[in-house]
Amino acid sequence: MSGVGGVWLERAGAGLLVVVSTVGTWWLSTQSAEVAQRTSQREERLEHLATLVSPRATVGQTAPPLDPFDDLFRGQRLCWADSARGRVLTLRAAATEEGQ
Amino acid sequence: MSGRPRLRLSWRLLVDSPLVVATWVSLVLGLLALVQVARSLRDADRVCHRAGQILAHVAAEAAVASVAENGVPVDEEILVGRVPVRVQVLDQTLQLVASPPGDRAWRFFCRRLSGEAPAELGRAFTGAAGLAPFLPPGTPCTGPASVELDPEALAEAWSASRATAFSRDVGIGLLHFAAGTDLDDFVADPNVPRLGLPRDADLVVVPGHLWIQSGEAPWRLWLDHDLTVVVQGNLYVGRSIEVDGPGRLVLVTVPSPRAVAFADADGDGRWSPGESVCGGGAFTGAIEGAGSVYLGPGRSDLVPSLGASLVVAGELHLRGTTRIEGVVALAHGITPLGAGQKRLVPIGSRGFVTARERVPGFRTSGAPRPGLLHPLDEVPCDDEEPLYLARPGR
Repeated sequence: MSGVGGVWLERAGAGLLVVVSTVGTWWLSTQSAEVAQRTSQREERLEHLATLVSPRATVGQTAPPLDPFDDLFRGQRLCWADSARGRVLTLRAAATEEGQ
Repeated sequence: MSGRPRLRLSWRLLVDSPLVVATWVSLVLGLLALVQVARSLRDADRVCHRAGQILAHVAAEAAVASVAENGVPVDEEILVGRVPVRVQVLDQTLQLVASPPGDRAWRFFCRRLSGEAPAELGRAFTGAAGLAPFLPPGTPCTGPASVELDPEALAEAWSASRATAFSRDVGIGLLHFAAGTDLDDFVADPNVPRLGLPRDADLVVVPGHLWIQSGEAPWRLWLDHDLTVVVQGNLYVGRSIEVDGPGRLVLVTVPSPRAVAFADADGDGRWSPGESVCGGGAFTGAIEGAGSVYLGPGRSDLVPSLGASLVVAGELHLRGTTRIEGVVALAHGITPLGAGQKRLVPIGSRGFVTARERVPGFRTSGAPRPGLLHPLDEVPCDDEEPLYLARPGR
């Protein structure tokens, strides 16, 4: 028992270790890939927003919609405000946090 | 004879049992996972940093707009959304510190401007509708330019005679035109990358004609800041100009009290009967006129590109196709020199945001206002000098 059983126990332990570590690695990889994808999308939206903030950007009668940037900054939303020099991008506290 | 048992180490010990092998495999997999997670976290941190910067920029721009409308405060904190922005007046500049919640403080500054610069300096091309054949299809022609210089600024401007890159040359006119020129001639040295002016000089007046001599190699010029060169005569450009550095070059020609501008149809550099005077009236004064630009004064001169803006009070003479990186503002027409197709390609990439940028030497209009916002960490430093200047060997 001790000889053969020990060998099989060791093999089973080794197999379990490999399976657990493989599953763990796969899970971490998918999670980090998801984070990387979200980060990349956020970066793209940020760079798009940066072009709107640039003073060289011309904002005409139809200012671009700001919906894509809604959840870009926690607790704050972007909006257009009319000023003497035309439409200016500004911030306001998000509705959900205004009452806090 | 019995000795101590010898400890024998072998690589086989590392793979001696399935459990040991599995441990190695797990370690490798764990390391791979750690690397991926670390990379994701690093990217997320970088984007978070960028988000803070853009959030601060949005808040600072909104604060600047508020300042522009409500007057300049001495020291005030403006709340934009949840971002407090402190605005301070420092001499002729405004300094803004935006502090997004949970992020570092971001500093910006902007200059205080006396008003808006001429709109022509913000458009790639300004000229009469009749000039369309010389331009790429679709280029809007909004009418003749009417740009005014600031007399006070001109009175305090630096003279070209004090710049090491410019020198008077009594023979250059005779080299190109049979009768030479009546006004003084100044020649730019194309081997000099810096004009040799004081650091704060941003307006130079050339009291006569300015010649940029012919050559295949472009004149490479380094500018720390924007520079306007006002030529009180004609501008003769015989080679390309490339401007390096953060500064932009604006070349302006104006007629002088002693000379008028005209369309030099035969390209002989002097007024001939039948050639029309810009603005009408009779031809008077110096025989070669003043206020005009010649892109290619010589028959073989080619000027493929000009890394500057052109503001021409007289006539623009064009020998070939020239790409202008800056803006072009023409008060009158374009006269082709020689046979073949002539094209002016204004790009406008080195133009100005006229509502928020100062252009040296030009008269402003409208109310005083804050200028363009610059992140303070990215301010071009006047003390910066290139390590190696493009100076020819001696």
